[in-house]
Amino acid sequence: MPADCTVRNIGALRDRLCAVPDNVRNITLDLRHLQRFDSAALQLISAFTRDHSARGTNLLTCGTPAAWDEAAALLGLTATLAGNV
Amino acid sequence: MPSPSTDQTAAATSQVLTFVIGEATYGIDIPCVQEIRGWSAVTRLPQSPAEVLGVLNLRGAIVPVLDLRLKFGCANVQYSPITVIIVVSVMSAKGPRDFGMVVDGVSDVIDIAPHDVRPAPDLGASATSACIRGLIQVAGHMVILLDIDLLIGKDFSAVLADDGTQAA
Amino acid sequence: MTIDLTQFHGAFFDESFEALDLMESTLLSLTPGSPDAESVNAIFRVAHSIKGGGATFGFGEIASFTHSLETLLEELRSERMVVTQPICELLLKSVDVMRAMLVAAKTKQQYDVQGVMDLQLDIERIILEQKAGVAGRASMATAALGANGAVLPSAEWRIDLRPGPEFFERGADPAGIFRELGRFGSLVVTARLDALPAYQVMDPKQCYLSWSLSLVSCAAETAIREVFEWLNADCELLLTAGPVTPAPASSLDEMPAPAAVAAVADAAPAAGAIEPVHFVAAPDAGSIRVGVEKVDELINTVGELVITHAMLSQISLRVTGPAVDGLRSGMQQLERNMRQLQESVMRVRMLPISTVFSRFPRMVRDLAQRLDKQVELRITGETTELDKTVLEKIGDPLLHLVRNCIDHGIEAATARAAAGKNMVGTINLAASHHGGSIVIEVSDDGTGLDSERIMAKARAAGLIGPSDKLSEGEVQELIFSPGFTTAEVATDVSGRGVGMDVVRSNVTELGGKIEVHSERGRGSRFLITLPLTLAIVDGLSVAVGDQIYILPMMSTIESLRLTPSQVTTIADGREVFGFRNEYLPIVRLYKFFGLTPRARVLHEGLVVVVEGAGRRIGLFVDDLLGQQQVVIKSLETHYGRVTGISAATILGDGSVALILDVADLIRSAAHREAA
Repeated sequence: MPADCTVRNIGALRDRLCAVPDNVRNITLDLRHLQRFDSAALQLISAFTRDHSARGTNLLTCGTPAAWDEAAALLGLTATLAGNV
Repeated sequence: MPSPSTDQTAAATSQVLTFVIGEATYGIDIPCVQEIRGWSAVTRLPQSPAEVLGVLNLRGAIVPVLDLRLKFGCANVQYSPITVIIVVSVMSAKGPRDFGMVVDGVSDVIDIAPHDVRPAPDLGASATSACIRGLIQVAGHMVILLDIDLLIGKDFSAVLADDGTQAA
Repeated sequence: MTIDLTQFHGAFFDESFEALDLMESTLLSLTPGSPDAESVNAIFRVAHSIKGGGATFGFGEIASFTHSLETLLEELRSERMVVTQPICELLLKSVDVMRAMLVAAKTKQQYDVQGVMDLQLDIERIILEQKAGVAGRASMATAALGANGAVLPSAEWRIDLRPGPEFFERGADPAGIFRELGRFGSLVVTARLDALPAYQVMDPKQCYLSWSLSLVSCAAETAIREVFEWLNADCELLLTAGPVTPAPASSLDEMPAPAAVAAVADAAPAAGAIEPVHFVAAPDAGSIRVGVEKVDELINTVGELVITHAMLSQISLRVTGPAVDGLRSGMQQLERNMRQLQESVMRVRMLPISTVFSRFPRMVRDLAQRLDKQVELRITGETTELDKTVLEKIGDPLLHLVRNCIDHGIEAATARAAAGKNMVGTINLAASHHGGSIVIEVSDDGTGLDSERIMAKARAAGLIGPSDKLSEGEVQELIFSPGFTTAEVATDVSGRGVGMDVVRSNVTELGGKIEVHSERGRGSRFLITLPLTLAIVDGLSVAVGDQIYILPMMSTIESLRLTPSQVTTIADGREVFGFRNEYLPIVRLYKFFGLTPRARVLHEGLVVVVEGAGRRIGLFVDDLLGQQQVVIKSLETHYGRVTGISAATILGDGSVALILDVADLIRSAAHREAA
């Protein structure tokens, strides 16, 4: 994922997510380079993980920053982001 | 804003609705008149005095209808589309009571001043005389002013007393 | 600015009475020795909120009394004192005293000042005694509490946040808000994703999420609101005080909701003096208090709508043309919606019967104690709902029945043991729905009705002739006769002359009926059948001449066409016919009402067997027109009572039909025949 995932350039992130083919078995979200993000990003990724886990895709994340986890917990999105819908 | 002088006149005169029963013309105070409607069949009330014809549906309320002609002793009354029901409202201890009065026809609305009203001569005890407020001359005709509270208050208490004795 | 507090008095009284009912029922369920902590808390809260309300609204004596009570409850709650049987009794007495004081305050009348003072002294004495006895332990406990003596009550807040679509673009940071909220207490966040579209099609800049939060905190509402203050107008924020959180053992002033805390003038100055009207008797954030007249207005309007619809649909039957199909299906749709509307509106007036049943445990307990009997009260179906008006009027008859059961029905423990019964007698109080009506059962496993004694009493009272032979059912019916009472010794409990006849007439007034089934030595069973509502009646429309009358379905048993051979004319011209092993008199409705019928010969018309006032008759009418629900309209608003008529209704064509009062009709028909 890009370094800056805030509402101003969230469109770019969406386009990248849309480029992920539907029929892959495993998806890894690489959050190592993530520096700035906001609730809009969390919302988008939540939709992404929700839709993919509904299809049975295995979702993995790597390099999750603590701030991401904290924000996810605060917004009540932890389960969704982990693919447990 | 009305000027003081108009105020005085307004306080002095009142409006009266006149109607005809048989040969006679009667009048009642306009403020107690709710509406005037054409004749429609009523539902009979068992064990009620002859002049209480029954009840009708007045916008969802069950309202008794009294035939004033029967009450005033008119013979052979008829009910036709031109027969009129005047719906009036009186204040009772239990709140406003509405009822319909059947008359032969409605004539006019007239303004009267208190000094125009002459006391009614003593006619002896009759259904009519007890509720006459006075007489008034209008364009050569005599109009009998009725006191609606006396007219109906009496009637209902009579009806209710009747019922009371039956139930006892 | 001064605020006229008297406008809140009504709410204060209503809520206090409700709270006292709750306190009473909780007290009764309390086991001395090992009380349930939550129950003690609930009782404490009642006293606390009445005290606060009393102080706020200037009822000084109420505030003073409840202050003492609260002190005692505080000792109990903190387990510094043990809930004993005498304390339970004291608390029950306090409920009565508070009720009496509230009634006095409400009606601006005097109450028993001495009694209140005595009880207050009793309460204070018991606290002092206890404190003296356990001084050592108590001081330790207070010391432990001293550190956080100023602990504010904590409450569960439910917060519902629905941001507008531009929430993120405006730079909002919900995580930040929630982090802030988390500082107030313990926060649980649940995100709702149901509005979140698939990621491929969503506008990632738009906010689709919404949240429901639950915050257990002692923070004031204003402080919580402040966190959300900067939110844009397009965000929906709903803040409600939720159910009470279980009290941490050490917390002193645990309270259900800050609104109630505000009742204590000094606890939350920010909330002002107006808040305390929200007493938290039964925590129910999802309800509102509405004046009955508003609901009645609604019911009336819906009634009008039903009538207007009936008129329109009759007209629609006469309409022809291309649009007629659409019109008729539209009318049908309208009818469905209207029925639904009518039902929902009716339901607004419905209350669970528990509001009446809750009076009984206390009364049974007191009375059994006084009569030295052992009685267990079993209540079932207390959630059954019925019309508020019916509910208000059924309490007294039920009370009378239950009293009778304890007084006359249940035997003394020794007598029960001798008869091989359980020493503890049982009274069942049950309510259930049965078709369009409510059936309330009051039964006991006592002695049952004594037919011989009833007969003897009835003979002595001249209710029956010396040689009259009656069936078992008829004998049991006799107890409903005016002036009948079997108690050999008139106690102050029942047997005061007013008896079952009053119960029956109360039930009949509500359009219901009461029956008794009893078996000697096994017990009695009273069944009260009531209509669900007083606003609508299920009726059978019958024709007599050109008039239509409505017979309430509850009073009709069967309709039949009689052949001449089935009818016997007795000497005085009265006609009777055989029906299910009894002879019933025939009352010709046209004669009774003085009408001109279409059918004068019995087999040309119909006989409807109706029941009322404990008797059955055959009512002769021209024809049956059908069954329908009708909206009840009072005849007494503009006219008065008419013998044999209970009310009127408006038919589909706009005309008026009278609803028959079967019990009254049977009574006056019998009266006329006798005359």
